[in-house]
Amino acid sequence: MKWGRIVVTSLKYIIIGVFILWVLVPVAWIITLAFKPYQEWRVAYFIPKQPTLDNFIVLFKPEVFTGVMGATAIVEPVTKPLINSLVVSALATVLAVIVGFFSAYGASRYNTPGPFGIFFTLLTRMLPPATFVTPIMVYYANLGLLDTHLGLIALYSSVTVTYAIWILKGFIDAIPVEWEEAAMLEGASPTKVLFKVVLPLVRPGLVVAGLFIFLLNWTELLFALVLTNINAVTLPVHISKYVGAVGQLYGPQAALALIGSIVPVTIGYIIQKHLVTGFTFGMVRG
Amino acid sequence: MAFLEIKNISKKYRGRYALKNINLSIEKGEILSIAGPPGSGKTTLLKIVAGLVKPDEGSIVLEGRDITDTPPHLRGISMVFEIPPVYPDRTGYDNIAFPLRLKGLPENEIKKRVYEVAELLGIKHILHRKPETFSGGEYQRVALARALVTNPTLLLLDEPLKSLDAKIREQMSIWLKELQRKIGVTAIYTTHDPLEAFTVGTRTAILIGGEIKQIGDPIDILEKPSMLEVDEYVSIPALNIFTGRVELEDDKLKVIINNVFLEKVIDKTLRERIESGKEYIIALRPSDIKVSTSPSPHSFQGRVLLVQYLGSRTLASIEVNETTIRAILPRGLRVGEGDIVYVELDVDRMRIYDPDSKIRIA
Repeated sequence: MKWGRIVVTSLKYIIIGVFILWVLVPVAWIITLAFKPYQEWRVAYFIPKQPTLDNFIVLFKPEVFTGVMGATAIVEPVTKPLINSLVVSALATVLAVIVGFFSAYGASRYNTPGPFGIFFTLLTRMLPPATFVTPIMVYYANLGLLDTHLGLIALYSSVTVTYAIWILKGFIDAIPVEWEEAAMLEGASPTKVLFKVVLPLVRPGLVVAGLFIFLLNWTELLFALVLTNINAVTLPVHISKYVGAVGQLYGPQAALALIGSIVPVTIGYIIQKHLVTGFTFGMVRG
Repeated sequence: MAFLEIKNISKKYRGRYALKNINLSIEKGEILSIAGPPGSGKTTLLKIVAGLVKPDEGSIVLEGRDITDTPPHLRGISMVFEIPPVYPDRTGYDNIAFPLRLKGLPENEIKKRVYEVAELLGIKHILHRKPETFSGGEYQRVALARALVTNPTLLLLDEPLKSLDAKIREQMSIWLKELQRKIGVTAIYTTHDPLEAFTVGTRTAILIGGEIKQIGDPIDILEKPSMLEVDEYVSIPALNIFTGRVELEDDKLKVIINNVFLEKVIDKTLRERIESGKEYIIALRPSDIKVSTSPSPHSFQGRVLLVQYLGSRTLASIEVNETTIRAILPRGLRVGEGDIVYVELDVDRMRIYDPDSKIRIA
């Protein structure tokens, strides 16, 4: 009996341990790789013998070290893709959340565009993005939207707005209609009800939807890869450039991955509090 | 001219009547309670009065003015909902101030009025707290304060105490009635609990299945229910309902329920309404049945099947000649299951209903 318990407990910890290793080893590998000098990129130990910041410096000043790292060409500095990614992800997120909020309110309260219609918004998520990236590229070429920020923002927001609708609809559904009716009785117009009653109540929902969509936008590769070239290149596309035609720049790639993860981690940490209230929303005391 | 008149209001949902031909008039300063089981149309009726739901037929007249087509916020009516409109994202103060801010009142005026109403309802201490720290009763008071702060001409209370537990509900219902008397606001109060309706209302209307079955004071409704449905609804614990054959004999009415015979002296008018030899529905409240351990001239022998304790009273189910009768035991009488007891039906409190229309005959 006692031995059985010990076996079960150890099994439990072994499974958890394996899972943690499975998740954390690649992350740890990237973190240590980012600080390893060129000579140590392909070695099988974690801790770098001669830690260096060269990998980070080469991201911003590629001309300094490229030859030393075995590269055959220069990769552009990371500044522009980094700014592009921030601008595109942030604006597309804001747009998706704003449009999503109004759509979700309509869907929740007025049942527009009908039960099938609201389900229909998920359609773009049911097909692999690769199936419609080519037609979009053709459209964009004709509209002059290829390699522009506007083109990416429009596409990202229209693809992610469905998440905003579904997340926010859940939050709006949780608000009793009576809370809106009370305000209407007191003289609030439908617009005022929307902005003074509903909007403040779903603020946690806006944060949840915003974070989720921002992460999707921040990590999106396929569309950006096909639709951008020089001007509007985003971070994920830029990361992919370090290994390929220019050589095998594993170190700088890891360093950039590390930089790229700082933004979402920071945002997540700051809005942690809202996330918690976000998921426990809908308290009516009994 | 009554203060508020509800005239021939009907409302259908998906072809079914939610409300059918409702007529009510309410005097100034009165609190009318509407009692009805869940789904009887209480909320719909209040929402029609408030203007949140449009009636299919009928009109609402407030102080002599037809307001059927007036938008809700111009009616001067406040409503407290079953789910009290207290927004969890702002303090008690901001919740109560909400309607005043909508009207664009200056902030010092708002402050004055919020504190006045908070003082009146005894909730000054929670004005600067968030609703998550409120107790159930405080929650309701904040909702009520929000409804009263605009000085409404009419206050609608839709089952405001439903979510509170029994003890607090009793306290709150008395408190509410006293408050209403103090400020003199005209109010309509709905509840699913007939006893609560009797406590709160100066008059009570019984709404069942979308129709007003009876309006009157508590004694009237309890002693002279208009129909079987009302009797069943207001009777707590549940009514004894039997089918019995009725026979007329000189000035006497004989009722035969299974093998139980009852006799009652009746007057002439009643004689004309009763058909001899026909079956009627006979109803008796458990409190109108006497139980003792010794026989008396008009009693029947029975066996106790089940004993239920209802707090201050004890309810027994007793089998008499194959008929089960529920009776309240007299104070101090202790019986156990299987005991033999003697049951006497109080013929004067017996009510006779027509088997088809279910309308009360006697």
